[in-house]
Amino acid sequence: MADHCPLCERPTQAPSEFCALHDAAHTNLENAYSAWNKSYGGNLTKDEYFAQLEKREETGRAVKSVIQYLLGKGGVA
Amino acid sequence: MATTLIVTEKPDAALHVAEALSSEQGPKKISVGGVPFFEVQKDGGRILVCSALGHLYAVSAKGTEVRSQYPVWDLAWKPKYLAERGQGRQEKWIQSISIVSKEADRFINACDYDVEGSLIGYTILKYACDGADKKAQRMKFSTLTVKELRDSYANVLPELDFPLVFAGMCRHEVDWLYGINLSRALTQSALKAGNRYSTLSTGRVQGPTLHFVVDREREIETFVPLPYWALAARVDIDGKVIEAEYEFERLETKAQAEQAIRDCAGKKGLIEKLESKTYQLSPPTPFDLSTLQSEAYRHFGYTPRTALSIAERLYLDQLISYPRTSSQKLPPSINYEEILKGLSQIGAYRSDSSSLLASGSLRPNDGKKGDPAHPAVYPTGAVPRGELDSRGQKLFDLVVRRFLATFGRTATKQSDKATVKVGKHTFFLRGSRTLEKGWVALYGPYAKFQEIILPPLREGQQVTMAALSLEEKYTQPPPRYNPSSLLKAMEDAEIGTKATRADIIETLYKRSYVKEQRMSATPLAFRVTEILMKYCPKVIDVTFTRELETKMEQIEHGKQTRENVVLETIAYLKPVIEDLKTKQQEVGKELTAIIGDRWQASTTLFVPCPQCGSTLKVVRNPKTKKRFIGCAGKWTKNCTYGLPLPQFGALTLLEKRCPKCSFQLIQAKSKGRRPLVSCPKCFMERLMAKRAAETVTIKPTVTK
Repeated sequence: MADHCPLCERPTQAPSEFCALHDAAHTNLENAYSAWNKSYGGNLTKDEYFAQLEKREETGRAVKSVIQYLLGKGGVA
Repeated sequence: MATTLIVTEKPDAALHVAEALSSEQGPKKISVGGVPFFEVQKDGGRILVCSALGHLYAVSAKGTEVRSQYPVWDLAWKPKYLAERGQGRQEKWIQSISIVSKEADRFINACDYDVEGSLIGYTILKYACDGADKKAQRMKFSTLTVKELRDSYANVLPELDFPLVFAGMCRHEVDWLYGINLSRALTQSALKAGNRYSTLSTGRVQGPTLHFVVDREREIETFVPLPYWALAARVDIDGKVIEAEYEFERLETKAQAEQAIRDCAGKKGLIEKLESKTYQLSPPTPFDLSTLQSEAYRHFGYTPRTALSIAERLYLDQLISYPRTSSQKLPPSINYEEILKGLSQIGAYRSDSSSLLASGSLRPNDGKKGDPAHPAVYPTGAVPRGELDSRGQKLFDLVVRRFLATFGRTATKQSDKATVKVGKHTFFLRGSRTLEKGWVALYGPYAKFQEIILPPLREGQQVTMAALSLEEKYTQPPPRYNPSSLLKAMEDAEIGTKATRADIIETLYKRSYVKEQRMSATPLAFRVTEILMKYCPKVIDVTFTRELETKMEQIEHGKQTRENVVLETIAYLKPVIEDLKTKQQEVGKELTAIIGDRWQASTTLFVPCPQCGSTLKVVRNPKTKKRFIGCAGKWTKNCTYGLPLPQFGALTLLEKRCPKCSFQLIQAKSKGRRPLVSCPKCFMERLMAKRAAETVTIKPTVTK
């Protein structure tokens, strides 16, 4: 695992591949999916979830960076 | 002839003290080495009144100071012109006070009555007046009015307020130990690792304050909004359409929301219940400094520092009492009646002051907070001598209106609620009205309440759902701090003092740790906070800072000693700083990248060159040293594009575009002046147009 977060210069927070900030953003992103899916009747794919969040100005910048990183890695499963 | 030397804090205060103590002919202004003094003949003796220029003495390293050296544990009080740069004017000030003091046989400290004022007077008397602190007396006052100054002189306290003095000394010494050692550790680490100088600072209060902003920024950066739905409804009651509120503010699923719409759209509803409640609204409490700053920000957008500096000007103009107070109480000794009589001489307050005077009983709605040194902020009742500037006028009006409102009667309000049932769904119609204005009328434009009057309703009445719509909404991240809410957070956490909080917030801007009015933390702020968290977490720990704050307050009450607190501070800081020094290279490396990015960001524009698309940068002409915007394509594409820049003031490239041409805006800020925001491209175009218009066209003369 790399010493530095793939999204910024900061050191990673083991066991996460991200730094503390991007790790918190990643955790929030993962945790909120079930609430979003429930709100939309259980039919929301992660791709749609990410697309919705990327559009919203309320979404934190670190969350948007994590989304772009995951999409780039094809990691939306 | 017996000579008394009175030391005041500012030149205006010296004049007021001299005027108050002089007979009809007024004080005589004399100059000693270019420094003004006021001479007054009184009771067969002579009084000389001088002023400080704020602090004339400051904490510094013992012996000769090497600015790059740390840790530093031995400290001494030195003239400020020796301890800090740019204080040259103070040298002749100290010399002149020292010369005059030799003629005096009685000394009085008449600086503002608080920790800072007591310390300013003490250091002058001790160091410039050859140890006169031991025999000096103390004048205590909260306004600069003639009556209060005369009373204060007649009842002068027999000795200096030493507990306040020692508390002040301790605060300066502890803050200096923190500031100098931690700031130098950061700055030197970055310099050694990256060979780039950048002033980085932190401090006992600055560290935890920046932590607040960084924590908030982290919450915003990692925020994931959640969707919800809200029903907006309107009902028709006998032709009048009014807003209705659905029983649930938020519906978590789209299905629930759509079902509610299907159930209610176009249906009739029944008013099931009508409720009315009357309630009382107590008058506001008198202004302590932080409430004044908060109201000044809410109504006028003034930062806490601006509000304080305007308030201090009003105090020096004898219009309001001393603003640096924690008290929310107005004691009867300030003489409410006299103040109201004075205010009734001012047209805008005549009617309200007179009606309060006529009411018979005057009792302010005192708050809980007290201050042993001063009452809450109040108008003195003096009529402004000339026209106040716009900001002074606004703040004066706010202070006067607040003062009047605290004496007002309780306001009575009524809230109305109608419960409307549409099948199993419930809606509410809400109204609000003021039955008796009371103090609300006295507070004028600063008391804003919405009045919603419901039409006549009865239980069992049928209403029609006139409009029903569904709105998809999202939860919001927490709001960014602004200078006012950050000051409130500092106050709630009990860190800093009323005298220092506003300056600490300004320092966060100066160090580029935060930007914009809605404060966002910069990457540098994140990095500095992370380093402090990693290597010395207590430095940014609010609890630890508060404990230290409590100990310093205990000195004011004689329950703690200055020596103990300073020694405890050194005992805590010593291992922390020594550890930081051993990790200098590591710390420096963590800072260097961010400083480099910051430097790059501060000199590189985000808009490309309009001619060749290359990067535009702020550069200096090596010969003339003038700065301008140049194109990086000069060397690769022979691009000659350039734009002029203001030559004075600190330059900031703003993250905003010109509304006219979309070029990046810049800001030049000179000390003591308002920031100048401009568009370099529009400026250049205006300049070219002006030059073209000024060019004189000479028509050729045709000789026949």
